[in-house]
Amino acid sequence: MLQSEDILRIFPEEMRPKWQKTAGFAHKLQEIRLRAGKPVLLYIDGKEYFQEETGEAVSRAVRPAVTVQEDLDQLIAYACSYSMYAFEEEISRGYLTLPGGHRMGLAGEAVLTDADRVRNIKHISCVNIRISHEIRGAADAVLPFLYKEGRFLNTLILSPPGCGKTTLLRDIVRQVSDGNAYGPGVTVGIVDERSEIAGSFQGRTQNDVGMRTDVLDSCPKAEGMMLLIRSMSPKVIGVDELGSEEDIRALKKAVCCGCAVLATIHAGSPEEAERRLSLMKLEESRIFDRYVILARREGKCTVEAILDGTRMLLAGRVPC
Amino acid sequence: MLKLAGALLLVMGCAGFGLCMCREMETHTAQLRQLVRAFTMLESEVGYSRATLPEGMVRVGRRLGTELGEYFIRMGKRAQEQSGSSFQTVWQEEMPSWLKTTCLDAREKELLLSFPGFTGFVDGQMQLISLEQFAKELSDAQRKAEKEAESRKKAVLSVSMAGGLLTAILLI
Repeated sequence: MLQSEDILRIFPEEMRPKWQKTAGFAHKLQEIRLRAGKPVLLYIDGKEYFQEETGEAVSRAVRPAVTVQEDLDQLIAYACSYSMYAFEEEISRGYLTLPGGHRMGLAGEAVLTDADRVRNIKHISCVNIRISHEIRGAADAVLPFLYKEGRFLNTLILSPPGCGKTTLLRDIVRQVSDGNAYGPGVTVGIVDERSEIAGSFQGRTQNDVGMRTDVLDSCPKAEGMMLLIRSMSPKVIGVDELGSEEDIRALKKAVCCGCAVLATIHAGSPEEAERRLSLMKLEESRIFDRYVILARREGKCTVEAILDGTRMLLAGRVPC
Repeated sequence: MLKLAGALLLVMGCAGFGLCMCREMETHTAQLRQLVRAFTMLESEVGYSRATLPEGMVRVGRRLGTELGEYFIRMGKRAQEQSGSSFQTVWQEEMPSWLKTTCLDAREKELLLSFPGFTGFVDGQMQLISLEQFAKELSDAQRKAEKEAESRKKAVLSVSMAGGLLTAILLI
């Protein structure tokens, strides 16, 4: 479970006393929103709270703590080990990965290249720290449905944002890699485009993704999948958030190469999932043997349904 | 006989003093040369590997393998361990203890302590230019020290020996 020290490590020494009390909620803390000149907002267990000047989290603020620009500058410099030039690319993509696998989203004034692409972000005035929660065993309930005769099946996890698809993906990867009651451990390759699955920081994975897992960090999914197949010959390939037809094409190639695939996709509802799948032309190719649909009920992430390749219901609501 | 031995010892002592001064000058230039080498390597770590400063310092320290290298490793590791201390704090806390062991003059020590001011650029190219400038300032100091040492070495040796001889003559 996440400890308060893990949260404090995100902040430079001067800011730590103010975050001591908030860090006490480490195991429930989901997001910290800092905006220059605005109150500090905390998202704990699915609810929004203000941070008081004393550091306490309250739903109605009397004297809310306000973020000053200098604090943001200091926080970003610290997150970059005082070497912002080394994180130019990450900053241009709008986020930094922090030790512990947490992510710092950034917004400010975009600096564009001649081709109108974001080269950098200056005057960063909004920061969103997303706290990574590694939940070992999150996949225990779904795992029996994802294997057939000891072989891992092509699986797609569908979920609206914030319902734990990356957490579930990570734990499936870990258990597939280490081996479990339903199949032996196999080599897994992860293309971690946004450093969210393994939470790599300076090349080292911060989350446990299993002993037979190779991680290709910060690489576009389609390119990364091919690269991994050529170089690491994985038995299972894991990717987060499929988004383009190019991703699907790469996925199909991976399947043709004999790899099992494990992927996630954003879908706010089963209907949206249906629409997105047909848009991506997954129907006719029938890549996936299992669909895991996630949702959030009463503040808790649940597996709404597990379907087989023909969309037949295999299991109903399962807590995870 | 005793007087002669005394005079000889006096001359040798003065020459030894001169030699010591010469050796100090050599150590001074060697230390500056080592610093130039370290910062040039750091420059390439930043320029080609896009390493962070703490990362680069650990790598450079390992390659240097000297006492300065050990300090680089220690500073790099401290800055990497997410203790909350800024790079400037780590540098200002660690560097003075190495400087105490060196023959660098006050101006050179001041330049070294000001290094964190040459960091913190968002643009990689700017950071590289800044590091190059720092390395150039060190390299200028090294060249100046070498020139000074070259011209002063002979003078120091001759003056110390002549001083010894004169004192010996006066005493006899």
